This record gives sequence, structure tokens and C-alpha cells, in this order.
Amino acid sequence: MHRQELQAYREAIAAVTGGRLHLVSGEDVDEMLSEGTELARGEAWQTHDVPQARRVIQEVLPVMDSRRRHAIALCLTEALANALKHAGGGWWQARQLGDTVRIVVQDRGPGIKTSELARATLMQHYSTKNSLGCGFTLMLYYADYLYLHTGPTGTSLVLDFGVVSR
Amino acid sequence: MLKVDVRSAGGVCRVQLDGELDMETAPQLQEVVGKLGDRTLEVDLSGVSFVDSTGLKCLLDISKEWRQKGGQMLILRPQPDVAEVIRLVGLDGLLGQDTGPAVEKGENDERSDHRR
Repeated sequence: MHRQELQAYREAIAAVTGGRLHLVSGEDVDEMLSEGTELARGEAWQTHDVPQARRVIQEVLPVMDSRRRHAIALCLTEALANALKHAGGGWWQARQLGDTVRIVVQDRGPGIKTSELARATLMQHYSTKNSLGCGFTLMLYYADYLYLHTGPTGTSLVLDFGVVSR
Repeated sequence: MLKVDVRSAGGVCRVQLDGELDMETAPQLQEVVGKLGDRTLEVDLSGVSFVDSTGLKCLLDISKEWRQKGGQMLILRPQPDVAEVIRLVGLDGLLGQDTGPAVEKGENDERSDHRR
């Protein structure tokens, strides 16, 4: 895709998600991974690694209300499920930047095709694999900001959750 | 981890779940439910703290299977976080009214416990 076309595409996706889903570059992701402090990290290559990741993250999350805690665990699960389904697995990390908890999930799969990107991220119940196709819908609902980098050498998804301590 | 408890009487089967219904445990529910022949299937989620999209897909598949057989599947008593997810993905049509335990203790004509 040409640079101008990609820019228009980025703006369209940001616009229809109310400025919450952004397509970013690999360098942007690297920068996001350097911000704040690491809470935990892990890998998921088999289904049982996913509930394990949930348990690990529940232990390191700062104090917050239980609904938010559930939302973060759910989004981590959905992002890891996508990595397992489409890339055979991947890596995750949780970071804290002030009042924000950041979840990053990365894989080295073939990436989401540009032609499928809008449907994969924005359309409810759209799935290229045999699943409900609602993982992204749930992440779009629960995360405050989502940053996606995808290409032929892998996909990175960054999810930011504002956390109000109680 | 998911505990699946099945109680069946008078054509109504109540499946009580405890734990998490996710990509790891959904096949377990699918397997247990696959052996049931009752007309009405009630899936009680009151003991379920977490359901992901794979778990939701499993519930949707079971519901379709039951409809095809001329029966129905209902989801009962989801916890608030789980109920929100069910509504978000548009499966709230599967939510049934809770009418209390389908079978009282001691009256079970069939009971099995599947623990993993």
C-alpha cells in the first residue's frame, strides 16, 4: 500500500473508532515498549498458557475496581487467542505508565492482510478462522486505546487501559 | 479449570459450571453436552468467573445444535462481568429466566460429575 493510501486508511480507522484504534509503525511499538515500567511478561504457545497469563497478570495489576481487572484479563486473553490462532503463539507484556496499564501482545505470524484489516478489526463477528470473531470487538469495547502494527513479519497489538485507583 | 455438573430430570437438563469457560475448557463442556439428549438444556453460569470469545462460541454452537434438534438451550445466572460480555457479543437472546434449581437434591434420576 502506498504511503498516502496508508495514511488515509489510518485516519479512517481512527475516525470510525472515535480515535481509539490507531495503526502504527514498528518503531512506534518499540517506543511504547520502552515507556513506563514492566509489570510482567510471558509467552503463549499452547492454550493452557493463556489462563496462566491471566493468573500472572492478576497478581501484578495495581489496585483497581474488579470490572477493570476483568476487562484487562479478557483483552489479554483475546489478544493471545488471536496470536495462537493466526501465528501459532506469541509474547505478551504488561506495563504501567502512571494511571495507565498497557498490555502488549506480539507475534511473528503472517500479519493481517490490508484487504482484511478493516473487517478483522471493526466488523462484529467477522473471522477468517472458525471462531466467533468477536475478540477484537471486545478489545475495542474495553480498552481505552489500541495501537496495531501488522506486517508480513508479525503483528503487535498495544492496549492501554486507564486505571482509576480506588 | 472448569467443573461441569450435570443434573437431568423430566426432559430438562441443568448443567452447572464452576470455574472459567475459555479456549482451554470449552472443549470439555462441548464433550459433556454432546452426550446429553434432553429437550431443554439450562447452562447455569453462576459459578463462572470468566468467559472468553471461545467460550461464547461454544455456548452459541450448543444453542444452535439444540435448536436443530427441536429443543432449546438457555443461559442462566451469569455473573455481572460475564453478563456484560454476553450482551456485548449479542448473545443475550440466549439468557433465560432463572426459575430456581431444575432438580432438587435427592430427586435426581441421573447425575454425573465431570471434573478436570
